[in-house]
Amino acid sequence: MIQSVLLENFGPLKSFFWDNISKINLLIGSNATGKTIILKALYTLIKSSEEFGRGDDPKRFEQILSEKIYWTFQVDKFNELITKGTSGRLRMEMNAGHGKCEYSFGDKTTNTITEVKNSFKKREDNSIFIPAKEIITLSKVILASREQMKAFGFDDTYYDLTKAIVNNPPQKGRNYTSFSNSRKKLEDIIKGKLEYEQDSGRWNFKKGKNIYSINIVSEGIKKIGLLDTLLGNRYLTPGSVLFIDEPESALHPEALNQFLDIITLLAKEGIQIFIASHSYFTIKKLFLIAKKEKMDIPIVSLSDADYLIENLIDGIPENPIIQESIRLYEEEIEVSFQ
Amino acid sequence: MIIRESNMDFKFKKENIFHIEKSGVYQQVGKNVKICEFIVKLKGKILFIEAKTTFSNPQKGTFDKDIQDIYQKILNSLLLYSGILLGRPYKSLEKLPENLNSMKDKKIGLILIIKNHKKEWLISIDEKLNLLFYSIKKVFLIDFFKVLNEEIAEKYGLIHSDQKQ
Repeated sequence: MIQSVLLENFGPLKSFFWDNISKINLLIGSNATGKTIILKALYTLIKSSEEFGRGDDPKRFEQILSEKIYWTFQVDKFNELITKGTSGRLRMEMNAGHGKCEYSFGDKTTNTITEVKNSFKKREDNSIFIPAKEIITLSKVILASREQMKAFGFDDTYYDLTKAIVNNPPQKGRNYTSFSNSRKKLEDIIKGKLEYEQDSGRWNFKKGKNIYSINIVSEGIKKIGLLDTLLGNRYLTPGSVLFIDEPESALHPEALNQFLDIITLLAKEGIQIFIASHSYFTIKKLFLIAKKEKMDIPIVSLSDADYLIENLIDGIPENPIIQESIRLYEEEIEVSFQ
Repeated sequence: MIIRESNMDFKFKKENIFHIEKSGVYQQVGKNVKICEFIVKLKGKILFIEAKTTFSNPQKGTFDKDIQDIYQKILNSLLLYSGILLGRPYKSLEKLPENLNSMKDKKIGLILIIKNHKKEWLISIDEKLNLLFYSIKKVFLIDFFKVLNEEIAEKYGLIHSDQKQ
Protein backbone atom coordinates (compact mmCIF):
# COMPACT_ATOMS: atom_id res chain seq x y z
CA MET A 1 0.00 0.00 0.00
CA ILE A 2 1.24 3.46 -0.88
CA GLN A 3 1.68 5.47 2.33
CA SER A 4 3.13 8.81 1.32
CA VAL A 5 4.38 10.68 -1.71
CA LEU A 6 6.49 13.75 -2.32
CA LEU A 7 6.67 15.42 -5.73
CA GLU A 8 8.86 18.43 -6.46
CA ASN A 9 8.99 20.34 -9.72
CA PHE A 10 6.86 17.67 -11.33
CA GLY A 11 4.83 19.20 -14.20
CA PRO A 12 2.42 21.75 -12.73
CA LEU A 13 3.30 20.67 -9.19
CA LYS A 14 6.04 22.79 -7.66
CA SER A 15 5.88 20.99 -4.35
CA PHE A 16 3.35 18.35 -3.36
CA PHE A 17 3.42 16.21 -0.22
CA TRP A 18 0.71 13.75 0.75
CA ASP A 19 0.98 11.51 3.77
CA ASN A 20 -2.54 10.68 4.95
CA ILE A 21 -3.04 8.28 2.05
CA SER A 22 -5.77 5.73 2.73
CA LYS A 23 -7.49 2.77 1.05
CA ILE A 24 -9.66 5.02 -1.11
CA ASN A 25 -8.28 8.39 -2.19
CA LEU A 26 -9.81 11.14 -4.30
CA LEU A 27 -8.13 13.86 -6.34
CA ILE A 28 -10.12 16.77 -7.73
CA GLY A 29 -9.26 20.03 -9.45
CA SER A 30 -9.72 21.95 -12.66
CA ASN A 31 -8.10 20.81 -15.88
CA ALA A 32 -4.27 20.93 -15.99
CA THR A 33 -3.82 21.27 -12.24
CA GLY A 34 -1.98 17.94 -11.96
CA LYS A 35 -4.51 15.26 -10.96
CA THR A 36 -3.58 12.80 -13.69
CA ILE A 37 0.12 13.68 -13.28
CA ILE A 38 -0.05 12.56 -9.64
CA LEU A 39 -1.87 9.35 -10.58
CA LYS A 40 0.65 8.61 -13.33
CA ALA A 41 3.63 9.43 -11.11
CA LEU A 42 2.37 7.00 -8.47
CA TYR A 43 1.57 4.43 -11.14
CA THR A 44 4.99 4.55 -12.81
CA LEU A 45 6.80 4.00 -9.54
CA ILE A 46 4.58 1.26 -8.10
CA LYS A 47 4.39 -0.49 -11.48
CA SER A 48 8.18 -0.33 -11.91
CA SER A 49 8.57 -1.97 -8.51
CA GLU A 50 6.22 -4.75 -9.64
CA GLU A 51 7.97 -5.33 -12.96
CA PHE A 52 11.43 -5.32 -11.34
CA GLY A 53 12.88 -8.80 -10.85
CA ARG A 54 9.95 -10.64 -12.41
CA GLY A 55 10.81 -14.00 -13.99
CA ASP A 56 14.13 -13.96 -15.78
CA ASP A 57 14.08 -10.26 -16.64
CA PRO A 58 17.61 -9.00 -15.91
CA LYS A 59 16.78 -5.28 -16.25
CA ARG A 60 17.96 -2.98 -13.49
CA PHE A 61 15.33 -1.01 -11.56
CA GLU A 62 16.63 2.29 -12.96
CA GLN A 63 16.15 0.96 -16.49
CA ILE A 64 12.62 -0.26 -15.83
CA LEU A 65 11.69 3.04 -14.15
CA SER A 66 13.18 5.10 -17.00
CA GLU A 67 11.25 3.11 -19.60
CA LYS A 68 8.07 3.32 -17.56
CA ILE A 69 8.35 7.09 -17.26
CA TYR A 70 9.20 7.42 -20.97
CA TRP A 71 6.22 5.36 -22.12
CA THR A 72 3.75 6.64 -19.52
CA PHE A 73 4.39 10.35 -19.89
CA GLN A 74 5.49 10.10 -23.53
CA VAL A 75 7.77 13.11 -23.59
CA ASP A 76 10.74 13.13 -25.97
CA LYS A 77 13.04 14.23 -23.16
CA PHE A 78 12.48 13.73 -19.46
CA ASN A 79 13.43 17.32 -18.69
CA GLU A 80 10.14 18.36 -20.34
CA LEU A 81 8.45 17.04 -17.20
CA ILE A 82 10.23 19.57 -14.97
CA THR A 83 8.10 22.52 -13.84
CA LYS A 84 8.63 25.39 -16.28
CA GLY A 85 10.64 28.31 -15.01
CA THR A 86 12.35 26.43 -12.22
CA SER A 87 16.03 25.68 -11.86
CA GLY A 88 15.44 22.80 -9.44
CA ARG A 89 15.47 19.09 -10.13
CA LEU A 90 12.35 17.00 -10.52
CA ARG A 91 12.13 14.77 -7.49
CA MET A 92 9.79 12.01 -6.42
CA GLU A 93 9.79 10.10 -3.16
CA MET A 94 7.35 7.36 -2.27
CA ASN A 95 6.88 5.25 0.85
CA ALA A 96 4.91 2.06 0.52
CA GLY A 97 4.33 -1.10 2.50
CA HIS A 98 7.07 -2.86 0.53
CA GLY A 99 9.71 -0.18 0.92
CA LYS A 100 10.74 3.26 -0.17
CA CYS A 101 12.04 4.75 -3.38
CA GLU A 102 13.21 8.16 -4.45
CA TYR A 103 14.54 9.47 -7.73
CA SER A 104 15.41 12.80 -9.21
CA PHE A 105 16.65 14.31 -12.44
CA GLY A 106 17.65 17.72 -13.70
CA ASP A 107 17.36 19.65 -16.93
CA LYS A 108 20.19 17.73 -18.61
CA THR A 109 18.39 14.42 -18.29
CA THR A 110 16.94 13.13 -21.54
CA ASN A 111 15.69 9.58 -21.08
CA THR A 112 17.64 7.74 -18.39
CA ILE A 113 17.36 8.28 -14.67
CA THR A 114 20.46 7.51 -12.69
CA GLU A 115 19.71 9.18 -9.35
CA VAL A 116 17.61 6.46 -7.77
CA LYS A 117 17.54 5.19 -4.20
CA ASN A 118 15.39 2.11 -4.12
CA SER A 119 14.63 -0.16 -1.19
CA PHE A 120 11.44 -1.72 -2.57
CA LYS A 121 11.14 -5.41 -1.87
CA LYS A 122 10.00 -7.72 -4.65
CA ARG A 123 6.28 -7.36 -5.22
CA GLU A 124 3.97 -10.02 -6.67
CA ASP A 125 0.82 -7.90 -6.91
CA ASN A 126 -0.30 -6.12 -10.07
CA SER A 127 -1.40 -2.55 -10.08
CA ILE A 128 -3.35 -1.10 -12.94
CA PHE A 129 -4.53 2.25 -14.26
CA ILE A 130 -7.99 2.59 -15.79
CA PRO A 131 -7.92 5.67 -18.03
CA ALA A 132 -10.95 7.84 -18.77
CA LYS A 133 -11.23 6.56 -22.34
CA GLU A 134 -12.32 3.03 -23.04
CA ILE A 135 -9.72 0.58 -24.33
CA ILE A 136 -11.64 -2.59 -25.14
CA THR A 137 -12.51 -1.78 -28.75
CA LEU A 138 -9.06 -0.28 -29.23
CA SER A 139 -7.12 -3.20 -27.76
CA LYS A 140 -5.81 -4.50 -31.12
CA VAL A 141 -4.83 -0.99 -32.17
CA ILE A 142 -3.13 -0.30 -28.83
CA LEU A 143 -1.06 -3.49 -29.03
CA ALA A 144 -0.09 -2.86 -32.67
CA SER A 145 0.82 0.76 -32.04
CA ARG A 146 3.04 -0.12 -29.10
CA GLU A 147 4.51 -3.49 -30.09
CA GLN A 148 4.93 -3.13 -33.84
CA MET A 149 5.09 0.60 -34.48
CA LYS A 150 6.66 1.57 -31.12
CA ALA A 151 4.79 4.83 -31.48
CA PHE A 152 3.61 7.44 -29.03
CA GLY A 153 -0.16 7.80 -28.73
CA PHE A 154 -1.29 5.15 -26.28
CA ASP A 155 0.76 5.50 -23.13
CA ASP A 156 1.70 2.71 -20.75
CA THR A 157 -1.52 3.06 -18.75
CA TYR A 158 -3.41 1.95 -21.89
CA TYR A 159 -0.80 -0.59 -22.95
CA ASP A 160 -0.46 -2.27 -19.53
CA LEU A 161 -4.23 -2.44 -19.13
CA THR A 162 -4.67 -3.94 -22.57
CA LYS A 163 -2.03 -6.58 -21.84
CA ALA A 164 -3.65 -7.28 -18.48
CA ILE A 165 -6.98 -8.19 -20.03
CA VAL A 166 -5.77 -9.77 -23.27
CA ASN A 167 -2.91 -11.92 -21.97
CA ASN A 168 -4.69 -13.23 -18.89
CA PRO A 169 -7.67 -15.48 -19.62
CA PRO A 170 -10.41 -15.83 -17.01
CA GLN A 171 -9.51 -18.19 -14.17
CA LYS A 172 -11.82 -20.85 -12.83
CA GLY A 173 -12.00 -21.85 -9.18
CA ARG A 174 -12.36 -19.92 -5.98
CA ASN A 175 -11.81 -16.22 -6.04
CA TYR A 176 -11.69 -13.88 -3.03
CA THR A 177 -15.26 -13.72 -1.69
CA SER A 178 -15.54 -9.96 -2.06
CA PHE A 179 -14.14 -10.20 -5.60
CA SER A 180 -16.78 -12.82 -6.50
CA ASN A 181 -19.49 -10.65 -4.95
CA SER A 182 -18.17 -7.61 -6.78
CA ARG A 183 -18.21 -9.52 -10.07
CA LYS A 184 -21.83 -10.53 -9.49
CA LYS A 185 -22.76 -6.91 -8.80
CA LEU A 186 -20.83 -5.66 -11.84
CA GLU A 187 -22.51 -8.24 -14.07
CA ASP A 188 -25.88 -7.28 -12.57
CA ILE A 189 -25.31 -3.64 -13.54
CA ILE A 190 -24.57 -4.45 -17.18
CA LYS A 191 -26.67 -7.66 -17.24
CA GLY A 192 -23.87 -9.58 -18.88
CA LYS A 193 -20.13 -9.82 -19.23
CA LEU A 194 -17.31 -9.28 -21.68
CA GLU A 195 -15.61 -12.22 -23.29
CA TYR A 196 -12.36 -12.28 -25.22
CA GLU A 197 -11.69 -14.71 -28.08
CA GLN A 198 -7.97 -15.46 -27.88
CA ASP A 199 -7.81 -16.87 -31.43
CA SER A 200 -9.45 -14.00 -33.26
CA GLY A 201 -8.46 -11.28 -30.79
CA ARG A 202 -12.09 -10.15 -30.69
CA TRP A 203 -14.14 -8.95 -27.74
CA ASN A 204 -17.82 -9.78 -27.37
CA PHE A 205 -20.50 -8.88 -24.89
CA LYS A 206 -22.49 -11.88 -23.64
CA LYS A 207 -25.96 -11.15 -22.30
CA GLY A 208 -27.87 -14.32 -21.41
CA LYS A 209 -27.60 -16.54 -24.45
CA ASN A 210 -27.05 -13.63 -26.81
CA ILE A 211 -23.62 -12.54 -27.94
CA TYR A 212 -23.10 -8.99 -29.22
CA SER A 213 -20.14 -7.52 -31.05
CA ILE A 214 -18.20 -5.17 -28.78
CA ASN A 215 -18.54 -2.45 -31.41
CA ILE A 216 -22.26 -2.01 -30.69
CA VAL A 217 -21.92 -2.08 -26.92
CA SER A 218 -22.06 1.16 -24.89
CA GLU A 219 -18.93 2.65 -23.33
CA GLY A 220 -20.45 2.30 -19.85
CA ILE A 221 -20.84 -1.46 -20.33
CA LYS A 222 -17.23 -1.67 -21.51
CA LYS A 223 -16.04 0.22 -18.45
CA ILE A 224 -17.91 -1.99 -15.98
CA GLY A 225 -16.99 -5.08 -17.99
CA LEU A 226 -13.33 -4.10 -17.86
CA LEU A 227 -13.22 -4.15 -14.06
CA ASP A 228 -15.15 -7.42 -14.07
CA THR A 229 -12.53 -8.90 -16.43
CA LEU A 230 -9.63 -7.76 -14.22
CA LEU A 231 -11.24 -9.45 -11.22
CA GLY A 232 -12.18 -12.56 -13.19
CA ASN A 233 -8.71 -13.19 -14.57
CA ARG A 234 -7.16 -12.64 -11.13
CA TYR A 235 -4.92 -9.86 -12.43
CA LEU A 236 -6.05 -7.83 -9.43
CA THR A 237 -5.26 -9.19 -6.00
CA PRO A 238 -5.83 -7.70 -2.53
CA GLY A 239 -2.38 -6.09 -2.68
CA SER A 240 -3.04 -4.30 -5.98
CA VAL A 241 -3.24 -0.55 -6.39
CA LEU A 242 -6.01 0.57 -8.72
CA PHE A 243 -5.85 4.01 -10.35
CA ILE A 244 -9.08 5.26 -11.92
CA ASP A 245 -9.10 8.42 -13.99
CA GLU A 246 -12.57 9.97 -14.19
CA PRO A 247 -14.74 6.97 -13.26
CA GLU A 248 -17.77 9.07 -14.19
CA SER A 249 -16.88 9.13 -17.89
CA ALA A 250 -19.44 7.03 -19.82
CA LEU A 251 -21.32 6.06 -16.65
CA HIS A 252 -24.85 7.14 -15.77
CA PRO A 253 -24.94 8.60 -12.19
CA GLU A 254 -26.81 5.51 -10.94
CA ALA A 255 -24.22 3.16 -12.48
CA LEU A 256 -21.46 5.40 -11.08
CA ASN A 257 -22.95 5.03 -7.59
CA GLN A 258 -23.02 1.25 -7.94
CA PHE A 259 -19.50 1.25 -9.40
CA LEU A 260 -18.22 3.22 -6.38
CA ASP A 261 -19.98 0.82 -4.00
CA ILE A 262 -18.09 -2.02 -5.68
CA ILE A 263 -14.83 -0.07 -5.45
CA THR A 264 -15.51 0.18 -1.70
CA LEU A 265 -15.91 -3.59 -1.44
CA LEU A 266 -12.58 -4.03 -3.23
CA ALA A 267 -10.91 -1.52 -0.92
CA LYS A 268 -12.20 -3.41 2.09
CA GLU A 269 -10.59 -6.56 0.67
CA GLY A 270 -7.28 -4.72 0.49
CA ILE A 271 -7.02 -3.07 -2.94
CA GLN A 272 -5.85 0.52 -2.67
CA ILE A 273 -7.78 2.92 -4.89
CA PHE A 274 -6.83 6.33 -6.30
CA ILE A 275 -9.54 8.21 -8.16
CA ALA A 276 -9.27 11.47 -10.12
CA SER A 277 -12.63 13.05 -10.82
CA HIS A 278 -14.52 16.09 -12.09
CA SER A 279 -17.84 14.79 -10.91
CA TYR A 280 -20.17 16.17 -8.24
CA PHE A 281 -21.67 12.66 -7.94
CA THR A 282 -18.29 11.05 -7.28
CA ILE A 283 -17.48 13.46 -4.45
CA LYS A 284 -20.94 13.15 -2.95
CA LYS A 285 -20.94 9.37 -3.16
CA LEU A 286 -17.46 9.03 -1.68
CA PHE A 287 -18.45 11.40 1.13
CA LEU A 288 -21.41 9.12 1.90
CA ILE A 289 -19.18 6.04 1.77
CA ALA A 290 -16.71 7.68 4.18
CA LYS A 291 -19.56 8.46 6.59
CA LYS A 292 -21.35 5.11 6.34
CA GLU A 293 -18.24 2.96 6.44
CA LYS A 294 -16.43 5.24 8.89
CA MET A 295 -13.59 5.16 6.40
CA ASP A 296 -10.91 7.78 5.91
CA ILE A 297 -11.11 9.04 2.33
CA PRO A 298 -8.55 11.78 1.75
CA ILE A 299 -9.56 14.36 -0.84
CA VAL A 300 -6.82 16.30 -2.60
CA SER A 301 -8.14 19.50 -4.10
CA LEU A 302 -5.73 20.96 -6.64
CA SER A 303 -5.76 24.48 -8.01
CA ASP A 304 -3.36 26.41 -10.22
CA ALA A 305 -1.28 27.69 -7.38
CA ASP A 306 -1.85 25.36 -4.51
CA TYR A 307 -3.47 22.24 -3.12
CA LEU A 308 -5.45 21.29 -0.06
CA ILE A 309 -5.78 17.85 1.50
CA GLU A 310 -8.80 17.09 3.66
CA ASN A 311 -10.69 13.97 4.71
CA LEU A 312 -14.20 13.27 3.40
CA ILE A 313 -15.14 11.68 6.72
CA ASP A 314 -15.06 15.24 8.14
CA GLY A 315 -17.39 16.54 5.40
CA ILE A 316 -17.11 17.83 1.86
CA PRO A 317 -14.59 20.66 1.86
CA GLU A 318 -15.00 23.72 -0.30
CA ASN A 319 -13.89 22.74 -3.77
CA PRO A 320 -14.29 23.87 -7.40
CA ILE A 321 -16.86 21.21 -8.31
CA ILE A 322 -19.25 22.03 -5.46
CA GLN A 323 -18.58 25.74 -6.08
CA GLU A 324 -19.71 25.31 -9.67
CA SER A 325 -22.91 23.60 -8.59
CA ILE A 326 -23.54 26.51 -6.17
CA ARG A 327 -22.82 28.95 -8.98
CA LEU A 328 -25.42 27.24 -11.19
CA TYR A 329 -27.91 27.31 -8.29
CA GLU A 330 -27.29 31.05 -7.82
CA GLU A 331 -27.67 31.61 -11.55
CA GLU A 332 -31.01 29.80 -11.38
CA ILE A 333 -32.18 32.12 -8.56
CA GLU A 334 -31.05 35.11 -10.62
CA VAL A 335 -33.11 33.88 -13.57
CA SER A 336 -36.14 33.21 -11.30
CA PHE A 337 -36.18 36.75 -9.93
CA GLN A 338 -35.63 38.47 -13.28
CA MET B 1 -46.05 45.90 7.91
CA ILE B 2 -43.47 43.73 9.63
CA ILE B 3 -43.83 40.00 10.04
CA ARG B 4 -41.37 38.22 12.27
CA GLU B 5 -40.98 34.56 11.38
CA SER B 6 -38.16 32.14 12.20
CA ASN B 7 -36.06 34.98 13.63
CA MET B 8 -36.25 36.96 10.40
CA ASP B 9 -38.04 40.26 9.85
CA PHE B 10 -40.09 40.58 6.68
CA LYS B 11 -41.13 44.14 5.99
CA PHE B 12 -43.52 45.02 3.18
CA LYS B 13 -46.19 47.61 2.47
CA LYS B 14 -49.53 46.35 3.78
CA GLU B 15 -51.15 46.49 0.35
CA ASN B 16 -48.57 43.96 -0.85
CA ILE B 17 -48.73 41.33 1.84
CA PHE B 18 -51.29 38.73 2.88
CA HIS B 19 -50.42 37.10 6.18
CA ILE B 20 -52.26 33.90 5.33
CA GLU B 21 -51.14 32.11 8.49
CA LYS B 22 -52.95 34.70 10.64
CA SER B 23 -55.92 35.20 8.35
CA GLY B 24 -59.49 34.64 9.47
CA VAL B 25 -60.14 32.21 6.68
CA TYR B 26 -57.21 30.05 7.77
CA GLN B 27 -58.43 30.10 11.38
CA GLN B 28 -61.72 28.81 10.01
CA VAL B 29 -60.10 26.07 7.90
CA GLY B 30 -58.32 24.76 10.95
CA LYS B 31 -54.87 24.66 12.42
CA ASN B 32 -54.41 21.02 11.51
CA VAL B 33 -54.15 22.14 7.89
CA LYS B 34 -50.57 23.16 7.25
CA ILE B 35 -50.08 26.55 5.67
CA CYS B 36 -47.17 28.80 4.70
CA GLU B 37 -46.34 32.12 6.42
CA PHE B 38 -47.48 34.75 3.96
CA ILE B 39 -48.02 35.74 0.35
CA VAL B 40 -46.39 38.88 -0.96
CA LYS B 41 -46.27 40.86 -4.16
CA LEU B 42 -42.71 41.78 -4.92
CA LYS B 43 -41.39 43.28 -8.13
CA GLY B 44 -44.50 42.24 -10.06
CA LYS B 45 -44.45 38.64 -8.82
CA ILE B 46 -46.70 36.90 -6.32
CA LEU B 47 -44.51 34.95 -3.92
CA PHE B 48 -45.59 32.29 -1.43
CA ILE B 49 -43.16 32.35 1.48
CA GLU B 50 -42.40 29.67 4.03
CA ALA B 51 -39.65 30.40 6.57
CA LYS B 52 -37.67 28.11 8.83
CA THR B 53 -34.67 28.62 11.07
CA THR B 54 -33.12 25.23 10.26
CA PHE B 55 -33.81 22.15 8.18
CA SER B 56 -32.98 18.52 8.80
CA ASN B 57 -29.98 16.84 7.25
CA PRO B 58 -30.69 14.67 4.13
CA GLN B 59 -29.03 11.76 5.92
CA LYS B 60 -31.45 11.99 8.85
CA GLY B 61 -34.75 10.15 8.91
CA THR B 62 -36.76 13.36 9.38
CA PHE B 63 -35.62 14.87 6.08
CA ASP B 64 -38.38 13.31 3.97
CA LYS B 65 -41.02 14.31 6.53
CA ASP B 66 -39.72 17.90 6.52
CA ILE B 67 -39.83 17.95 2.73
CA GLN B 68 -43.42 16.67 2.73
CA ASP B 69 -44.38 19.33 5.32
CA ILE B 70 -43.08 22.12 3.11
CA TYR B 71 -44.79 20.65 0.05
CA GLN B 72 -48.09 20.39 1.90
CA LYS B 73 -47.87 23.90 3.39
CA ILE B 74 -47.22 25.56 0.06
CA LEU B 75 -49.77 23.47 -1.82
CA ASN B 76 -52.47 24.26 0.79
CA SER B 77 -51.58 27.95 0.60
CA LEU B 78 -51.98 27.93 -3.17
CA LEU B 79 -55.37 26.24 -2.85
CA LEU B 80 -56.62 28.49 -0.07
CA TYR B 81 -55.52 31.68 -1.81
CA SER B 82 -57.08 30.45 -5.06
CA GLY B 83 -60.25 29.54 -3.14
CA ILE B 84 -60.50 33.09 -1.78
CA LEU B 85 -59.92 34.58 -5.22
CA LEU B 86 -62.53 32.26 -6.71
CA GLY B 87 -65.06 33.29 -4.07
CA ARG B 88 -65.47 29.94 -2.41
CA PRO B 89 -68.09 30.31 0.36
CA TYR B 90 -65.80 30.46 3.38
CA LYS B 91 -67.71 31.63 6.49
CA SER B 92 -65.13 34.27 7.25
CA LEU B 93 -64.88 36.60 4.30
CA GLU B 94 -61.32 37.61 3.63
CA LYS B 95 -60.46 40.98 2.24
CA LEU B 96 -57.28 40.55 0.32
CA PRO B 97 -54.66 43.33 0.16
CA GLU B 98 -55.11 45.69 -2.73
CA ASN B 99 -52.23 44.34 -4.81
CA LEU B 100 -53.00 40.69 -4.22
CA ASN B 101 -56.59 40.49 -5.40
CA SER B 102 -55.76 38.82 -8.69
CA MET B 103 -53.30 36.25 -9.97
CA LYS B 104 -54.12 37.06 -13.57
CA ASP B 105 -51.02 37.56 -15.70
CA LYS B 106 -48.83 37.54 -12.59
CA LYS B 107 -45.70 35.48 -12.29
CA ILE B 108 -45.86 33.17 -9.29
CA GLY B 109 -42.92 31.99 -7.22
CA LEU B 110 -42.81 29.54 -4.33
CA ILE B 111 -40.05 30.17 -1.79
CA LEU B 112 -38.69 28.40 1.23
CA ILE B 113 -36.24 30.45 3.31
CA ILE B 114 -34.05 28.55 5.74
CA LYS B 115 -32.32 31.15 7.85
CA ASN B 116 -29.07 29.49 8.77
CA HIS B 117 -28.48 27.04 5.95
CA LYS B 118 -25.27 27.07 3.91
CA LYS B 119 -25.73 27.44 0.16
CA GLU B 120 -24.36 23.96 -0.53
CA TRP B 121 -26.96 22.47 1.84
CA LEU B 122 -29.80 24.32 0.11
CA ILE B 123 -29.23 22.63 -3.23
CA SER B 124 -30.41 19.13 -2.33
CA ILE B 125 -33.57 20.53 -0.66
CA ASP B 126 -34.18 22.74 -3.67
CA GLU B 127 -33.79 19.82 -6.08
CA LYS B 128 -36.01 17.49 -4.04
CA LEU B 129 -38.84 20.04 -3.71
CA ASN B 130 -38.59 21.08 -7.36
CA LEU B 131 -39.16 17.45 -8.32
CA LEU B 132 -42.18 17.26 -5.99
CA PHE B 133 -43.62 20.50 -7.37
CA TYR B 134 -42.95 19.56 -10.99
CA SER B 135 -46.54 18.74 -11.96
CA ILE B 136 -48.05 21.51 -9.77
CA LYS B 137 -45.77 24.02 -11.48
CA LYS B 138 -46.91 22.83 -14.90
CA VAL B 139 -50.63 22.68 -14.05
CA PHE B 140 -50.76 26.02 -12.22
CA LEU B 141 -48.19 27.84 -14.38
CA ILE B 142 -45.91 28.47 -11.42
CA ASP B 143 -42.75 30.20 -12.56
CA PHE B 144 -40.33 28.84 -9.99
CA PHE B 145 -39.73 27.17 -6.68
CA LYS B 146 -36.54 28.16 -4.87
CA VAL B 147 -34.93 27.44 -1.52
CA LEU B 148 -32.96 30.39 -0.16
CA ASN B 149 -31.10 31.25 3.01
CA GLU B 150 -31.35 34.56 4.85
CA GLU B 151 -28.43 36.07 2.94
CA ILE B 152 -29.91 35.31 -0.49
CA ALA B 153 -33.42 36.30 0.63
CA GLU B 154 -32.05 39.66 1.72
CA LYS B 155 -30.22 40.10 -1.58
CA TYR B 156 -33.51 39.68 -3.46
CA GLY B 157 -35.43 42.07 -1.21
CA LEU B 158 -37.42 39.55 0.78
CA ILE B 159 -36.07 40.61 4.15
CA HIS B 160 -35.97 44.19 5.49
CA SER B 161 -37.37 45.24 2.17
CA ASP B 162 -38.28 48.90 1.77
CA GLN B 163 -37.67 48.71 -1.92
CA LYS B 164 -40.11 49.70 -4.59
CA GLN B 165 -42.62 46.87 -5.00
